[in-house]
Amino acid sequence: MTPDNGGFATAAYIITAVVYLSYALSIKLRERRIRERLARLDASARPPSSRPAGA
Amino acid sequence: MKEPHISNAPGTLAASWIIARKDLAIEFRTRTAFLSALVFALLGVTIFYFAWDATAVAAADLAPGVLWVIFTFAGLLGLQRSFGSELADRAIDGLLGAPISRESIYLGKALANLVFVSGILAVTIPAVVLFYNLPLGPGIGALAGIAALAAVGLVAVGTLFSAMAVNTRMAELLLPMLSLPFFVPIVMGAAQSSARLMAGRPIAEAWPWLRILVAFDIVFVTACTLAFPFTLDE
Amino acid sequence: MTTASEPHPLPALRRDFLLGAALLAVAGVFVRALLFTPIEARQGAAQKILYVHATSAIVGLYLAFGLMAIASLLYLWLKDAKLDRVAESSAEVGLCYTTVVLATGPLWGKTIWGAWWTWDARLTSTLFLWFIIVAYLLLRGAVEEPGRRARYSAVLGILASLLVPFIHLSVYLFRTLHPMPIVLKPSAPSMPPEMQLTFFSALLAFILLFAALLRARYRMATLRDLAADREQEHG
Repeated sequence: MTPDNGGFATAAYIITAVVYLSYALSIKLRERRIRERLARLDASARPPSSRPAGA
Repeated sequence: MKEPHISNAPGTLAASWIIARKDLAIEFRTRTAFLSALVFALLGVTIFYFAWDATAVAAADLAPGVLWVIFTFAGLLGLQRSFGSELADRAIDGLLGAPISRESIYLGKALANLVFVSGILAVTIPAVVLFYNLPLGPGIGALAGIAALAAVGLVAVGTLFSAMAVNTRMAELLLPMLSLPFFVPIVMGAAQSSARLMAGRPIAEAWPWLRILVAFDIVFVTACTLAFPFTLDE
Repeated sequence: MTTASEPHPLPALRRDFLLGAALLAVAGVFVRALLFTPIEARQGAAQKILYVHATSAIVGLYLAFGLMAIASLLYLWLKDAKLDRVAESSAEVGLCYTTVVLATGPLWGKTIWGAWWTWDARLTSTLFLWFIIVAYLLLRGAVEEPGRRARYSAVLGILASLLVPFIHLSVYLFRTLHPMPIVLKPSAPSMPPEMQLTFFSALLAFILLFAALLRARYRMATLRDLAADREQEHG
């Protein structure tokens, strides 16, 4: 008599997908924030008068 | 990595002993930490008694678990103060400048902690025997031996982590969080072996657990001694 | 002194193909496992949890944690910040995998053991590994100076790898001396070929995902440290 426990399997697979996807997303979001911070740092470090023409 | 041998500098064991004595002297001048940890342990032992249904579980069966859990938390309290005294005015630089090996700083501090924890156990174990109506037999002597093994393991790991935690922003939270997973084999080994020995079971039943305790002590005293120099900034 | 016209050391990644491919592979395995793999007669459909639970455990416990321990050891020897970043990234990705193991384990356990949790050696070791990696990441968060942070983490990483066998052995001993009712033995050694194929595909997909996540996390760490250095320069 095969037990009817498909619900458990579905729940497990959904949780697995959610955890991995959220984690991948969190890495990308954190990376984006750091890139923005880096861009701001570069912009403020660059002295405005010495900007080479056409750069 | 070895310091050049200076002829009149103390060897590692002698230096450890000097450092241990210094720490213990500072500690016993005020005794605050010791007394606080002791009171904590005794209160904990009594509070635990009321957390169980005394009719469902015999107090004597409860005792090993209570003893070793309280032992870990009281031990943590004692470990908290371990490197705290050197933090003020960067007193640790004085230790680092001395012609002694880094390992002896660790061993000295661990030894002081061992005396501290043993002092707490020396009062807490009789208290547990009293409050939980433990039968006085050969099991009690075994209990002292197990306590010694457990204390060595606790102090080995705890001293290393307190050296790291003291340099962080949340030392009081970090030390338990780092140490408690490492205390699990100690608590299991001590509780399981002492439960069996106090129930009068043959020593062969307790032996696997004692082996885990001994193995843990050997592995972690060695590993922590080797790791300690990496926790110093130099 | 860097100027704005100098490119960042890493290409501006807008599309991570490795990660995309890995996620697709995992999705493919999900489809195969749920829809195209036969149901095991005794355990029912819940047995399919094995394909994500056991494979995540293999990758998270052995691959991620092992890499973290080795990188920690090498860092203490070579003092290269890249090794520290590998250890850190491997720890965090490993935590993700371990979380999956701990979340799916009880779901499977409930169906085969009748209990959500039975303190069996492997699940308990996984639980403690989870705690230790959390402690590792919190320790990193609590130490500001990068060199000290790397050294402390490396010490913890190495000690943690020494601890796990002790926990496993202790819990195993605990269980063999306290026999607990096990309704069905979970991983049957003789799996029919279709199930074996699903299992190994899942394993490969999760290894690929690990590599992709590790790379992404490592890149993030590199950028973060670069930003911290730049901030230090500008004061």
